Amino acid sequence: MNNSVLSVDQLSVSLGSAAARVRPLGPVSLEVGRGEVVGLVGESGSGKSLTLRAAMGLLPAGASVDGGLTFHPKAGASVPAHTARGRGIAMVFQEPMTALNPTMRVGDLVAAGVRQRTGMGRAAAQRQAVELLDAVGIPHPQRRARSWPHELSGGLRQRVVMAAALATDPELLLCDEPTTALDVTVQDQILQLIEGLRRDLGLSVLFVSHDLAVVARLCDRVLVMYAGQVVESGPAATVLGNPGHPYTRALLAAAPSLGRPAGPLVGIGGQPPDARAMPAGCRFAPRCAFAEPTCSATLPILEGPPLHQIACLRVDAVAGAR
Amino acid sequence: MGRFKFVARRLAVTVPLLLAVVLLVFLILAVTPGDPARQIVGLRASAAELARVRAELGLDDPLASQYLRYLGGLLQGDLGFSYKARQPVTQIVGERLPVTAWLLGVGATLAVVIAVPLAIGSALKQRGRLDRAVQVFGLLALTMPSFWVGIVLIRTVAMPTGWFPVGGFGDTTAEHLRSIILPALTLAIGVIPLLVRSLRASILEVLGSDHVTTARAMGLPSRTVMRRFVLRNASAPTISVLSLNLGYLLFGAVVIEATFALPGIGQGLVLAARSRDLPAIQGYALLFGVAVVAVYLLADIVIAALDPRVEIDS
Repeated sequence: MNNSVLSVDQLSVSLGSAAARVRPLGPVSLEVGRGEVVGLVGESGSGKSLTLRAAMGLLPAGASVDGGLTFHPKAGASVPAHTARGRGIAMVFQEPMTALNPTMRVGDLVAAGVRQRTGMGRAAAQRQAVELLDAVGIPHPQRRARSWPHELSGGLRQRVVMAAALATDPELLLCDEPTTALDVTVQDQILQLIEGLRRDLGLSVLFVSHDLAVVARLCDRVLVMYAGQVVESGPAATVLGNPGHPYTRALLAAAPSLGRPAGPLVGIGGQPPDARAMPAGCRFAPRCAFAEPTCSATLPILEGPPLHQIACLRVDAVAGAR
Repeated sequence: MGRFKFVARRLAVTVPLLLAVVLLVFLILAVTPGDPARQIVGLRASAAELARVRAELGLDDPLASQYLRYLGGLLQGDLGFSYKARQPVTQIVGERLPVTAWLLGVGATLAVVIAVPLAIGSALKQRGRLDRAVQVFGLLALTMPSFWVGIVLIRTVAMPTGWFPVGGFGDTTAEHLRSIILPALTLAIGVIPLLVRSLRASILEVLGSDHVTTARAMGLPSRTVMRRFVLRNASAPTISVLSLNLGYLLFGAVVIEATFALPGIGQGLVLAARSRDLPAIQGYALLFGVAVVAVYLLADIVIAALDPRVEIDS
């Protein structure tokens, strides 16, 4: 696909020592189109963040990666994604409180990114850094560039993290739950910022979140992950409005909503499978209301029209139950 | 800026600390049995002679006024007078101070210059060849007494090559430097294992922190990541370790100066103790105390300069 900016092809990640090797992720395949915002949703441990870290080559020591992660820059040849960190791919993290170096002025951090990408001199990079801080909506950027991280609020810090990511002039932004640690009003400001960047700079975004409302608002396309695999993918409106996979349905039903009349909160019974003992068949089968004996024996693959794919053997029964 | 306030407050605490050191050192002489006047005049002197010297020295005055007089002398750089050596203590200590200052300065520098790369190397490749070698060497170095290390260096380096003198301090700066290298190395070998262990642990901790991941995700060169993101955050505990080991270093200096026949403070202290030269002992003790206070202060200032959060934490 040549209007993709990132191709993930049959990616799996294994972790742990040789004696206790587990494969918490994969195989997973996905594409991020140029200018597209793709959401990756699922509960904790489903492999969302691991996918991003694999793309950045920032997995913990001892992790091994199978499959391809390829970055396709606008100009030039495609390269393995991890070689493009800071050179086309940038990342924004979940925890703005710890993502910044406590002994570095925030302007210096942003300037370091500028210098890395452009080879600019110190003074010019500092000026550029102030402009970037301004661009991400930090008031008094000139003065704020001299601040230490501990002098800033969580929202401002997350803006600094964004500015540091933008300093490397990326085409693809990987966001690892960037709004989870922030309160709702600040969350909204950061989302507006990402929307603006996408609009003004034509950034492609791969956005990891467990917050369905955030994903619905921001993303063009959504991939739902469960136990290290993609179980459903399609346009955000379709997947979240007309979910085809029992897990997606359960996830949506479990999300409290202000719009709905208050009722008892619906959880999903059971626990996600342990990566040390993945079921042979469908990984959601043990928790699934639609499961039949075949589900525990056969691993379903993503099927259906390219625009809305579902990995479920009982997809017709699920659709009928609506 | 909070950090300047921190340093100012730290300085303000230092003043009473120094006064306490002076008081303790003063009391050494005041409570030690034996009459300094008797030491001067000798056993056969008459009672009248003794009384005259006691009055001359002010020994009949109340302790408080003796203390004030001692303090007043100190403020003018007067550490008292050694009747044994027939010299002002300031002069005795002053002649020996540069030797020990060289030893400690070059020793600490060598220790840092050697320990930092070893710590980085062993933290980056945990359980690698270097890491194992450093651990074994560290254990060995901790168990080897410094006088033995000194003798080994003299026998295996100084004597066969002739590059370094086997003892003495020389007269010119170049000679000082040449004669201080081996003693300083001996001193460094004793501290390097402590520094490496502390710094390695801090580096490992910082390497796992989120802001290092941020730096890597920005594609910053690994040298920059190590220097500005890892070392700067990992160095504070090691600076504390270095300053807390000053006592060990001073003690090590006494032994090492003896091994290498260096005319420094350590040797002077031994000489003064052997001849029961109380005013000189008092001078050395005061110097040691002031040095410890000064180094702790310096360490705190360096840490404050490295970490902008110091004021908040304190």
